[in-house]
This record gives sequence, structure tokens and C-alpha cells, in this order.
Amino acid sequence: MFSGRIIDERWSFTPFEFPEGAWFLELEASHDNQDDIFFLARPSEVESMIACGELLSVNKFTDTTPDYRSNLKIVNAKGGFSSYQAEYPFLMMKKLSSLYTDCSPLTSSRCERVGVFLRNIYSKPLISERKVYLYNNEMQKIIAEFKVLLNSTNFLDLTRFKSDLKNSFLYGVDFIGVPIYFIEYESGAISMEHTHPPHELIGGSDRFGLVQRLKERLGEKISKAFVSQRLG
Amino acid sequence: MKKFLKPLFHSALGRRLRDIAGYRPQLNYYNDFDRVTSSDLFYWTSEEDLRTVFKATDILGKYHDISSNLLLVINNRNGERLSVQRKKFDSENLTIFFDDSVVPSGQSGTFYALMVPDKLITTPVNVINRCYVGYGISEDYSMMHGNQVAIMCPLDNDEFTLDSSFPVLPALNPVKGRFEYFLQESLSNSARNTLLFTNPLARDITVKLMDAEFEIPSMGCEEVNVVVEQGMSRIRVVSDFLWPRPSIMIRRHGFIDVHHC
Repeated sequence: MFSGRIIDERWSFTPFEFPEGAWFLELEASHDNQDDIFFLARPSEVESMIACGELLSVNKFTDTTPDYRSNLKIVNAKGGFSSYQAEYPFLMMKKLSSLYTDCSPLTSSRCERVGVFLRNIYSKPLISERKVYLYNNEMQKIIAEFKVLLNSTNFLDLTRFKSDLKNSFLYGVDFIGVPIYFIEYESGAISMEHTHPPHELIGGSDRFGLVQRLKERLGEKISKAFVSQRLG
Repeated sequence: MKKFLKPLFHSALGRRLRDIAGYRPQLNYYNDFDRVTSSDLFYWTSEEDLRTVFKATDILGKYHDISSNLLLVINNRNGERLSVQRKKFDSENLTIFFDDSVVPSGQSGTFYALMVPDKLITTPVNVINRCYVGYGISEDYSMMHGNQVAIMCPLDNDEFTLDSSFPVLPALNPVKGRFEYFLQESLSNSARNTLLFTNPLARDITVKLMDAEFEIPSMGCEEVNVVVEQGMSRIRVVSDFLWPRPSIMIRRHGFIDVHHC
């Protein structure tokens, strides 16, 4: 197991040792490691990435059915907890297309706090800024604009928009990632789950074409609203 | 050679041979049809203090601009049908609370939710309802996406109707064999851990977990409490069903978390 982070615009990797005979390795998150990536590889495979200067698909160890996943859990001071089975497909690390995620299914207006973690991993060692827009279909306008970073765990606090999220979506330009929605209720209970990428809601030979056309329509909505709100 | 073998591998004959040999059996069939709508076989509960919510997105409307309904079919834990309900998508998203008007209290079971067009269509559509189900105490829901593409309804049939005569099929391979699944997490002994299994096949399935062995009827479900002992390593599920991946409900100190494991 290795962790990776960007230091001085280069990927730097640190090995972990698995305890003898253990099936699972437990890692605790902190402010220091919250943007790190974690993966399984041989030292020689990591050396090839260092030589190349970017993340590579170095082995097929986690190309399994069912999908190879880790359990990512969060807890709060009241004892509330939630987890989900986490993975970040390598193919997503090579792309910088557009992000679309519907805010309705995994948010709630009857919450203390609600938001979304947008985790991005990009193969090149870049930590550059992008924009993500929160668009409301009912009002037909952009109600918030967020700055996010590549190769980072970005948290977008949506609490002040919680009554509008039922009819809203997030759209990012030149940025993709896994949207992990978070709800914290007044009781202390937590919900954490990721939305599916759009192409996993439809099958058939033209599914990527359908998704592309949907994203183009949504991108046009964002552009129109952007211009009209700037001129407004 | 590869050019010849690949089509054979994916052909009906190839899949049958793979099933017989137990070599990489095909997992599901929902891409075999030009027009099909599919769904997970979700678990619902109204037992103890638990409540269930389901959230669906109008996929036919969003991607194909086709007006549609959500067909909700609810079964009890033995797989016997309790009700068929039709819900109209009047906006992009639909939320269904499993209260007394939807399910009996103090019970559990399974359900599937198919998005079906208002009228017969001829254009290719392939809709996968993985949507989101939540379980909670006092409506503080822990949300979870669908576990598997389990049930499908081909829309190729010109006699397709929106009532209970629609032809529903398992979307998962019903091949019988000996299959193993290892839970992808270590469980804590300070929590109540319950594994939730559903069976979308037209036949009963057998599941072995630790020292217990049980049968799950077609369209039914089973809840298995797992007692975690000191030194326990990974938990293995053995079944004659190709995809015995459960969801897990973890309860501790009045809080609940549900996810796939």
C-alpha cells in the first residue's frame, strides 16, 4: 500500500506496511493527509510512476468483479457515523471533462448541515483551481459559485441552500470527481453516499452520447444564466 | 484469433458454455435488449423504529425526453407480492416514504421500481434504476444507492402494458454454482451488524454465512445478525447465487448506517 501527495509539483509516494496476517489496513484521516491518495502497487511500479512524472495504471490487482473498494467512514462528536464503499477509477484520473451531479437524491431540507465532498484525482501533479456552479432549475439561475482544486478533497457547504437543493444540480467545467453527499441531522445522525455518474443510469451503445448531450444542454443553461446574471 | 474468440465469448453459446464450465459467468443481461427498463431489488423495513424512503430520478424524461411513470412493486419477505403502485413523475425527482399507506408496519420485504414510458415506444432506451434508498430512525435517513441491477422488464414486447401483466425477468445470471463473496470491510463488535440479502431470481437461493445456512425465496429477503468475535478475520458468504453481495445495517448508540459491503 502506498500513499501519494504532490510536493513541489511532483508526485511523492510513501509505503505502508500491512500488519502480518491482516486482511484490512485502517488509516485515520487528518488535516495533513486529507488530500492524499492511497493505492496498492509494487515498489517497481511506483518507481515507474516517479520516472514518468504522473499516475499510471500500473497493475490490474484491483480490476475485480465485484469492484475492489475500501470503506470510508466519518464520525461526529455526538457518535453519529456513516460510511460508503469508496473507489476512484483510473480512467477518471486521465480526464478533465465536465462534472454533473443532481443534488436532490442525497440531500435533505430537514438537516443541521448538508454538503458535498468533491474528490478529484488527476494523473498529472497539478493543484489548480476550477469553478463549480450550483444551478437551480426552478429559479433558472446560478445560486452559488464554488472554487475547487484538482487533486484535492473539496467540501462544498450547501447548508444555506438546503431548501433549494431539491431542484438543483452542480456543474463543473474542466473538472470531474466523485461527489460524496453529506447530511448531518439535528440528532447527530449522518448520511454519506456518492451519486452515480450519469452514464451508470443508462445502458445501451449510445449511453456516452446521451450523457454528452445532457451535459451540453446543462452547460448551455449555465452559460446563459452566467451571462444574464452578469449583465443583470 | 482474438477477433474470432471475443464475439464467441459474448455470444449466447459462449455464455452458456461459460456458465457450465463456471468460467467467468456473465453477471447480468440488461444490455441484451434494445428497449429495457431495469431496477435493483431493494430491501424495505418498517420493523422496530425503522423507516424506509426511496428517491427516484426521472431518467426517461431527463435523457430521452419521454414522459414516464414509476411502477413500484412491493413484496413481503417471502417474495409474495403485496402491491403494485404507479407514481407519476411530475418533476425530475420523486420521493416515496414507506409509511402505512405503502407497506404494513412491523414487517420487511423487497421492492423494485421500474421506470416505464406512458405509451409504447420504438426508439432504443435502456434505463437502469439504481436510485437511492434510505433507512432511518425518526426520518433521519442513511442513504444508499442500489446494490445490483437485479430486475428488468423488456419493452420490446408490443403487448407491454402498465398493469401487473408486464413481463419482469431477473437481470442477474441465474446460473447455479458455488460462489463466494468476501465482505470488503472489517466489522466492529461494539455495534449491531445486520446483513441484508435479497433474491431477485425466479428460484430460491441458498446462502451460507459463518455457521448459518439459509434459503431465500424468489423475490424475498433475509436479515442476518453478525456477531463479531475477537480475532475474526474477513467474513465470507458462500452461495449458489452468482452475486451474493449483501447490504449492511450497522446500529450503535441510537445511530444507524446502511451501505454495501
